[in-house]
Amino acid sequence: MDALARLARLTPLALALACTTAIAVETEFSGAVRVLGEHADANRTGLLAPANTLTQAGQDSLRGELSLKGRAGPIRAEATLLQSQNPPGKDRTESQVNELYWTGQASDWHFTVGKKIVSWDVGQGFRPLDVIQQENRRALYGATLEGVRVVMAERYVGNAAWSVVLANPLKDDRAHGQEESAAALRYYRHSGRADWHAVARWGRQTGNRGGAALSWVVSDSLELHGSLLYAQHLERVRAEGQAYTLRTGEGGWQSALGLNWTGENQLSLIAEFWHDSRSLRSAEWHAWRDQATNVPPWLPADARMGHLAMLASAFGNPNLRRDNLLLRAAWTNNVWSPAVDMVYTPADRGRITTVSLAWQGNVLRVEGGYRRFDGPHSAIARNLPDRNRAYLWIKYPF
Amino acid sequence: MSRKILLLSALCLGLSTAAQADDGVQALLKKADAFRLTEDHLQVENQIIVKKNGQIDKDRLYSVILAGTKKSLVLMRSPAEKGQKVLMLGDDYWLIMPSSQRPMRITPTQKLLGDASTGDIATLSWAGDYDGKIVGEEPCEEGGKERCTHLSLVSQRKGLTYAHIELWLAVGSAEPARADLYVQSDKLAKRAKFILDKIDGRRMVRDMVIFDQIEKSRETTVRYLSRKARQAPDEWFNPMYLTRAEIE
Repeated sequence: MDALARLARLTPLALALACTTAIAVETEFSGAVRVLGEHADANRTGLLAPANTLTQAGQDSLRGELSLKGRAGPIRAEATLLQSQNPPGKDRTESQVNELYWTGQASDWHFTVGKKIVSWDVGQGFRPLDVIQQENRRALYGATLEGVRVVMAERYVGNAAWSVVLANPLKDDRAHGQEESAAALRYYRHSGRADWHAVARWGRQTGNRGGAALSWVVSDSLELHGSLLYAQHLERVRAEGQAYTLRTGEGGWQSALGLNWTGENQLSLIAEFWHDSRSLRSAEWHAWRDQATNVPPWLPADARMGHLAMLASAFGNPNLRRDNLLLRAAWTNNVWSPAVDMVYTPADRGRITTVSLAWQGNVLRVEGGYRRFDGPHSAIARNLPDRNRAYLWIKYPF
Repeated sequence: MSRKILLLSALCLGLSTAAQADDGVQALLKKADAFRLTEDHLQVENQIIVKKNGQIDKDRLYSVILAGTKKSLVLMRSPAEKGQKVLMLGDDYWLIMPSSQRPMRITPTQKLLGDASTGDIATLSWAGDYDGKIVGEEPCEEGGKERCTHLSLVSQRKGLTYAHIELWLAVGSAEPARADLYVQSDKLAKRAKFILDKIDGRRMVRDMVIFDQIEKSRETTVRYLSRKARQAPDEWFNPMYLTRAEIE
């Protein structure tokens, strides 16, 4: 029965591949196998430490991924099969269709229908204009994104491009985040050393939002970029009694400003500052801290742990604090690529520091990294369930 | 940086005078380009073999789609890089990585990153982009018998991979023989040697062997596997079009 259940989980993958081969006119296939191990150290001194078991802090995992990409005429598909042990010894198999879409053209318009990765905006650490894909830019390591169900029309005129997108047109008004039913319009223009982007979006739950972005190559080595977006309503995790839940509420601004410098010696530096109104305000974090430190002493131990574990849901917004500064330095000699970055939150002096090292062979790629959540005891980053996380992966593309 | 710009401007000024004196330079460069570039609109399949201390370190395949001398699109074909694309429109560059599917504006210096500088494979012409003077007639190789015209060239656009090139072309035919390639800081970055062969009935460059002057143990061979005329649609050279599956 267990084997049958696993096979059933593979159905989307099989369908995706069958689809590409069945219509095979001119086919192209590629793929990759990746084995990934992750280790985490629980935060034993944070405010939520007594609930570490419930928040699954310090949990190691081992994962195998097989991803296949195919293109057959106007159909393109990418699917991933994941076999994970989280924690080690607990097997889990799942499959995911990352992309499966049809492309076509009528007159000057280019159409896309299906599940597709639609990434917009110009920044590195935070992208306010990424209103369709809404990618988490602070993931510990890279993974293939999962696309959004779209009907898209695009037109390319000289240095400009128009995109009209209907995202999740079949979803009802309860869907949220990346799944929210929405319509969006993007205008892009390339003008010499500058790239201009303007985006407008209407979401069934979140209403209107609009913004613009600029990427400007100032010199041979330096690029500056900035994005600004105003949203009528924002989805954010906020307090509802004792719990923290995702709710659509008041609107706000999202913005980012950054620079990217690359030298002839292949050293590159990124500095970026961003503001995200979705994150909890300082006063809300103070209230959270009060909830974590003033647990009624008469509560039974299990209930106290449950209460603290519930407070971990406050970490659910993409950025912990509203204002963030990212500094990153990376170098490569095309074989070895070390990098170090830090996200600093000025409001509480929290630091999330990541170091990584990648090795690129002729085919094989190996990458390892380590992330530490640090800062004064009052910093939110210092009170996350994990204190350190490390990963190592080996990838074989074919 | 400002010193570099001043130096470059001074060189450009000096050479624009020199170019007036050497009307033959552009004619020679056009003749030399014809040994790599067969058409204005072209698709070239390249193999890049990187050797370290004589051992093959990396083997990569690239497709380069050219529209005139100012527009080129590089598609990475090897498993390790598949899905990466670089678009070059004059001095403006964009990169797309398969994991993000987002065309990203990059600086001219960022395009130097990678196993072979994208400029090495995507730029197949010198005429127009470079100008300079004829230094004189010299042996093509040190101690060799064949004679070459030695040209000293300076880029006419800021974003080119090499700011300054010393080029040796065979006397008479203008077949490219060798080149010294200098980056923006006027540092000698690479030395190139051109190997010609009879391809489709005419003498063409088959290999460009590049000797890294910074990492001396490194040698890169850019092999031209095929060249065929191809008129790519205009939208292929729009940065936002890079996300579309049609150009994979």
